Amino acid sequence: MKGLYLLGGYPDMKTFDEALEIALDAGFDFIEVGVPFSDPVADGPVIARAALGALKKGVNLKLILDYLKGKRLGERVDLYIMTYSNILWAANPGRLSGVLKECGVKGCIVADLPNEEHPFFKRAGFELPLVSFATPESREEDLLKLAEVKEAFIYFVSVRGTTGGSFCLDADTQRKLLFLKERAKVPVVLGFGIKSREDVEKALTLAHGFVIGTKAIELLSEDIKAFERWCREIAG
Amino acid sequence: MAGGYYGRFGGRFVSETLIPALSQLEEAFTAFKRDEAFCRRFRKILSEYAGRPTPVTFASNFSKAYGLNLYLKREDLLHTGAHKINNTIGQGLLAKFMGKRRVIAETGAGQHGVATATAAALLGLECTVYMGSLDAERQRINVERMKLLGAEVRVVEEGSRTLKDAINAALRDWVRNVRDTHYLIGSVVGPHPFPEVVAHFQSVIGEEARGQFEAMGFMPDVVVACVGGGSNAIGIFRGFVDEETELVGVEAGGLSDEPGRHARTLGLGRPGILHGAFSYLLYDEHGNITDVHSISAGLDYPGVGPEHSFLKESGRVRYEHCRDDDALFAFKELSRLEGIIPALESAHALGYVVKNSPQMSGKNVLVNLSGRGDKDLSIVLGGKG
Repeated sequence: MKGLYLLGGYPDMKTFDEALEIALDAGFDFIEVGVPFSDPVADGPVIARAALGALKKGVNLKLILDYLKGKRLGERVDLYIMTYSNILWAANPGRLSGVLKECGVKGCIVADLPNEEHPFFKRAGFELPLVSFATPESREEDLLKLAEVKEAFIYFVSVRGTTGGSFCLDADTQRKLLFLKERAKVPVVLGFGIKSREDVEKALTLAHGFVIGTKAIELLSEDIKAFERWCREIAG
Repeated sequence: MAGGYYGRFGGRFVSETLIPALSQLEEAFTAFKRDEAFCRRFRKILSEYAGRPTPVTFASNFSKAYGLNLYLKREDLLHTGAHKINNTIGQGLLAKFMGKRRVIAETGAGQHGVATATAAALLGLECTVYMGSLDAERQRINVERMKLLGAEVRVVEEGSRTLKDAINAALRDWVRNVRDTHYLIGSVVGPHPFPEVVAHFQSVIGEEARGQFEAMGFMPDVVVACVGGGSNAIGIFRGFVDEETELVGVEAGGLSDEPGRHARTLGLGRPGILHGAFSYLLYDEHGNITDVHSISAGLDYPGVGPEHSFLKESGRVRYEHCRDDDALFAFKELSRLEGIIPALESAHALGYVVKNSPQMSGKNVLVNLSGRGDKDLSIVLGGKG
């Protein structure tokens, strides 16, 4: 499972649209569309800066969803929304579920929503799958609980830190990852810090898939041709 | 409180990476409260080092001028000049109890940063303090003070460059260093169990004040405290919540009710999720956090502790506001009438009393004087907000 994170409307709507086409052509299996939030605590400087820039240009959830719906993107690729709790909360979780389904969104990855708070959104009427997280800090009881997850996939956060650090898994984390991979009922996807073909190959030996974000944002802020070459290299 | 919630407010809305650390903190906090030796050490440091108990002062000149009986709980007399030290010593000991060698903290006005650096120096902990660059400019002396106390100060340049952004930076640090670092949060905000931990260590204010009133043979009619995150207010309210006493929390009214020109989280916000908790919050139609303003660096925060949201909805506490100008007036008034220079934060509680003195005529009013105002002189003299 090869996944790519793209920040909605970044660096502008037209380039974002081109980037999506490139990613689909390159063969990514799923796309996480980021919705910017004013206080992106789980993000490193690259994505945080991009998100604040997008906000200044007026990018918001409604704009992104209108675009996704118009493009019927959900029919061509597995589509996830990645954002923060308050963005979903402000949109009214119950009402939002219907809109997300219409847009073909398969689920949400919410950076500041740990597994144990999923019921908070379910109680508020949110009906789409919420992606569960595993981390280097996960305890055995957490991993056993994650093994029972039946929705979407499990997002294994590779590092203690924010998005965009370096990709290195200590021995203990690798052990947790393999423990979970053996038992999980849904794919385990590795994210945070993956940048190169070499990282991707390593990730695929340990997990069912990977997702890349920061590097894509870096390249998109510079040159879409470089982004295109990189996408082919990663997903090809 | 049940399952980390006060009614429907609270929770643990943070990165999954932090969940085990929060569980560890919760367990350690429960054990800490039962550990006689640590509790004794906490009380001993509070009395011999921080200067507890603090007196309740009857402000006779002010009372005469405004036709009520004003009592001040003198947290301004504590070491480092504010109530913040109660919590930093408590959590510093808790960090030691958990075997962490390093603490990090966010600070707005700099009071919590200074109090954290102080506790860290006393207890032999490494200390890093995050401070928004706008606050660092407004409170330069406190930056120097923290450095002198051996803390590293990291100035945060992003966002609104104030308390909110300092908390973001501290949360990012904590995710990276969660194994050996304790996040010594400065108010009754953040993910569970922080609001309860901080409330516990600050409840000494209310317990003491209650005892002091019992000794005088009556209870105050009204207790007033300023609310940013809300730790000094929770601290004093906890002593009176079971009494008939009216409880009033005063938020920073800033310049006006226009978005971006106040910090009236409870007054004008609605429930939302920021910094780990579901609580009242100021945000726009898309869910993005709104800029806030207050003349006081300690009150310009777009969120508020979840227990306050609960107390607002339950109706037990009334939340009001005080504008910049009224706080400034009260700041000068208390200085002139009583020889006590209050922190601009506490001046909001006083400003509310001044403005509503006709309705409080003849009543016994207790204000939590949460800090002293020396740190605010440049703002007051510069007239800068």
